[in-house]
Amino acid sequence: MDTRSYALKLNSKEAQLVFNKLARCYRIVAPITQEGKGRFSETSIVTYDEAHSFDEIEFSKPTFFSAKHEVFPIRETLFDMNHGVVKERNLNMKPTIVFLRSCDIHAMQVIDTHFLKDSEKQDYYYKRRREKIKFFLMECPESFENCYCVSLGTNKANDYAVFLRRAKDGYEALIKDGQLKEFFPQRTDSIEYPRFVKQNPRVVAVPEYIPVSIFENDVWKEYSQRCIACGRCNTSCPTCTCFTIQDVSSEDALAYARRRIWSSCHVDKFSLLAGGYDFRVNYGERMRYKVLHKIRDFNLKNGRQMCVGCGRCDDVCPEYISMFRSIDKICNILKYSQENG
Amino acid sequence: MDNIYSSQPVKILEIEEHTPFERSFLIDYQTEDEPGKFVIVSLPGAGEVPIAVSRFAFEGIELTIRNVGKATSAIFNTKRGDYLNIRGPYGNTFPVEKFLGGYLLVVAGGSGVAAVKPLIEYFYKAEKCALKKLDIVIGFRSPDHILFSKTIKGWSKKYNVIVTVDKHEESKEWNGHIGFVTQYISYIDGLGNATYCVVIGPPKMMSNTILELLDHGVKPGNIWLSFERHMKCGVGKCGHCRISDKYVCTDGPVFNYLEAKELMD
Repeated sequence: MDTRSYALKLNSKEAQLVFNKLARCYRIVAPITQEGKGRFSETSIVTYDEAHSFDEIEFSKPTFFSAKHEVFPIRETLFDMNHGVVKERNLNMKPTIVFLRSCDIHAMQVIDTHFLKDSEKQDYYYKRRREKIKFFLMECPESFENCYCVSLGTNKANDYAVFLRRAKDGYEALIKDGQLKEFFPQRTDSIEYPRFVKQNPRVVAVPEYIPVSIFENDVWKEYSQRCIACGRCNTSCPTCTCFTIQDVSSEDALAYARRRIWSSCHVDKFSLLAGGYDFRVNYGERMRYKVLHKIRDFNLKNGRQMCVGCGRCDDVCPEYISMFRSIDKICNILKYSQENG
Repeated sequence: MDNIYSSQPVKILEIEEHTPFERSFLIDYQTEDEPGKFVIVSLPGAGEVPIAVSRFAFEGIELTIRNVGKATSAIFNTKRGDYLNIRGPYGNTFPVEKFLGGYLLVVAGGSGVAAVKPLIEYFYKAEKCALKKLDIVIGFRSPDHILFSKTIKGWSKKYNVIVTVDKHEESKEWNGHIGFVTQYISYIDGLGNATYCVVIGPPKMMSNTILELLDHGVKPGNIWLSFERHMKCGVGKCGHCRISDKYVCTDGPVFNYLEAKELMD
């Protein structure tokens, strides 16, 4: 553990003071239970939203969507062009604190890798936003139903500013980020360090090497029957970062705004060429494209798996297609072909 | 920090019409002579499109564009003296150094000819000994779709050039070859393990041509391909052009076949 970090026990009153102090400088985004806003009538849903106190934060349930939109908004205007003059949109954004679980902190590292790794080709719009965001770790004492983070090694995280746990009479915190120390009482208490999930109900051995032969395996055909190309898995995935560009015109033909919006490799036209040729017409091929990016191609390029095992895509799929089952199938196919030459 | 998405307005110097759907735009944009590269072209409100450089000229670069989408049709509405927004050039280049002094076969289909034209021009303009031999097989959909006929005529004075069309209507005059480019591979003398090949065109045409070349004893490592993919950014971020672990915009568009055969869309 970082020697400069320090632990604290905060009673309810202290915690509220800390929150108020933080909220003056930061927008605080965390899982919040939205009563009555679930998919079915009279159900609630846990989503990321602005918190108004630590007490409001949902510490014990997973969120339906990730907090990806905080670093990579669904729609983002890049610049305006007016009669040939380009004007950057200023980023009017309050510095932000986002509460994340371990898997989601890993997901943010994946997105950072994609947008920032190549120092000569860093994404300007991502970087300026990302520099204003700090992460608070929430622990998962136990695994949720569809998680498989342990199989992907994302169950533990170190890369966070502050760890916060709801305790009996208040909160327990571990402060790592020097810039945030002034917001907390200056004393040291002893607390139990973050507890991370050690096992999930779902276990899968993600193959280290996936040969190119898997691309032509029949396993993908099944998904052509089941997938409806809605793209929910992409929007719920904390590591999907594909985008498309739109020019939004105004009444003045020479004035427009260029923006980028999320795009989905499952949805039609993702790979369509202007001449009409499409590279992945069957939905099973799109499933293959996505799954192998998450557990093979990103790893080949960047040396780490893209899938963080959060299980959100399994939760949201209207056709009950499971990423986890898909990985498991690939694993079994490879094992079988190894054993049988 | 530099913004990788910002483009600059560039003046159109000349527009040449090849067919009702295809035009070349010579623009005042200076870059190195690097055959294979592409730029991202845009117009206010119409969006951006990746376009291969079809000529590196003294005055600037030439872009040959087919009118098939929103952005390209807006580009077709411009005239000489107007401005296009340009960023780039992006991507890698054909391995020109490797081909020097060797035997090269170029097989191109349709608008793919535009992307490979700078490579042929590079040798065409160079000293006599730049290549031992250059064969060119070019296929177009029909006589009406033929591009760069004057330039191709020039090449045929120096090199063996076969131009073929997929089909033609009886009513129109066409004395040239008919059929796919693959049918004309066996017309090329001396194909073998010392031949370097460049293949560019529609996906089906490329895969069939590769099979034909391998059948004629060309080494897989001596074949280079140039890919066309849907692109939104050109700088490896938008994800549309990814094939396996490669991004066509930054790792390509030129791939050696040994690498390309491991890539699956």
